Amino acid sequence: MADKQTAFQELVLRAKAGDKDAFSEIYETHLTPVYRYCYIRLGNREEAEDIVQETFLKAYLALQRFEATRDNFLPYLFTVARNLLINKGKKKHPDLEPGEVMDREDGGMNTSSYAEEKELSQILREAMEILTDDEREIVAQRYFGERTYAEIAATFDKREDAVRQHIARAMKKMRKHLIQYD
Amino acid sequence: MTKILQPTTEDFITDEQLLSFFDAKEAGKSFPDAINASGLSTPSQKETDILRSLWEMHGNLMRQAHNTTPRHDLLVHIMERIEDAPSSSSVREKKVTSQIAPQGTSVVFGGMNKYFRFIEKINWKILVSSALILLIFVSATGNKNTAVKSVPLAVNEIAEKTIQAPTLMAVSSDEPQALPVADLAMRATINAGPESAVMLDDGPLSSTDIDTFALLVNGGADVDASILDDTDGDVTLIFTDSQSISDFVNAYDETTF
Repeated sequence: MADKQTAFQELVLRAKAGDKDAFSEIYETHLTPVYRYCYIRLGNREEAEDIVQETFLKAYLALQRFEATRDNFLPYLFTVARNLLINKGKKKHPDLEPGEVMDREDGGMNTSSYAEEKELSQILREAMEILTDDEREIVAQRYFGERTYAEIAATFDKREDAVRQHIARAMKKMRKHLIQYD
Repeated sequence: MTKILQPTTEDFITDEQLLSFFDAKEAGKSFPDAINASGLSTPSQKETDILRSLWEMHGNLMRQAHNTTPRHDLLVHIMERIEDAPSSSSVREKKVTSQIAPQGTSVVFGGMNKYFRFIEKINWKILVSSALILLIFVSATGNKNTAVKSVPLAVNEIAEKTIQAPTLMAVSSDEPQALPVADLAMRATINAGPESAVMLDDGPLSSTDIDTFALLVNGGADVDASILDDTDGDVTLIFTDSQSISDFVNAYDETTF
């Protein structure tokens, strides 16, 4: 753990000094959860990419002025991304028309799988829409951002058991919504 | 006839039991093992069906997340934007030395980060124009015996020309507070004296006029500047800040020689 922390600190120092490869390495390590989180919140690949780009750009600039550690960097990214999403006004996905589905992500699927996947993603997104803002945000961070309950609790300034309660209730709500498709 | 009430909601399972159920699933346990891990004892068929649908929904969420992958070329776009970022230190240095700062000013400002920030914020065109005007000004003053005498100008014009050069160079309306006052002595040389043939509207600049300059500079106006040298008919004014230049110009304009 200490070695990973030290290695990350060295990467940060190199990135601060303008080493693009070091920043690329930091980026590669953190991209996927941030992207998945943005994507499930927006339902649109291009918009998610815009937010991700903006997030990492801000992070790169922020490296100059805050002491990034392995522990605080990913939470920082999620905070930035979340603020950008809020600013974008996409919390409730107003531009997603009824019946419109999320973009295709996996080009390798066959047609029937792809259709099923699109339908599934649409159904899941619809199910998430019935959640409260907090529940939706927490579910997105838990399952798409791959964040632990403790990390989410720190981000939202909530107790961990409160986060767990949000997750459990959100999952129950979503199931109720989804049984109509059975 | 007794009606058996079946659970129609997930009320039979507490929040913590449900999370334990999911935790077990994420740990790779089977459906029956996850039920056991949740602490539920012998759930009914209806409850098992509900647990099964929760199990599948959780799996669908995880699968959807797993299938959501970013494009590989996203990094390229981000790095491009980082290259274009205005406050990137590496980009800043590059621009200051190669694009923004005109040749010559980099010598003046070289190695001083506070000046980099100042230069970065002012319009490079102004800097280029300033450098050109300064060059013209230096050429003119270096050859003053011919140039100035052969083209008599009103003092107002001379003063305007000579004062504008350092003003444009050092003063930016965007960020006047960033002016490196202490390090840059802004000089405005004003040709004066009968022998320089600088003409006022009503005749050559007299010693009285020089005195008037001195008065403006040293107390007649609220100008923080000093006369460096007036022994050979040239009055070199050293301004200590941009406001002083502005004050001097205003006071000069208001004074009738």
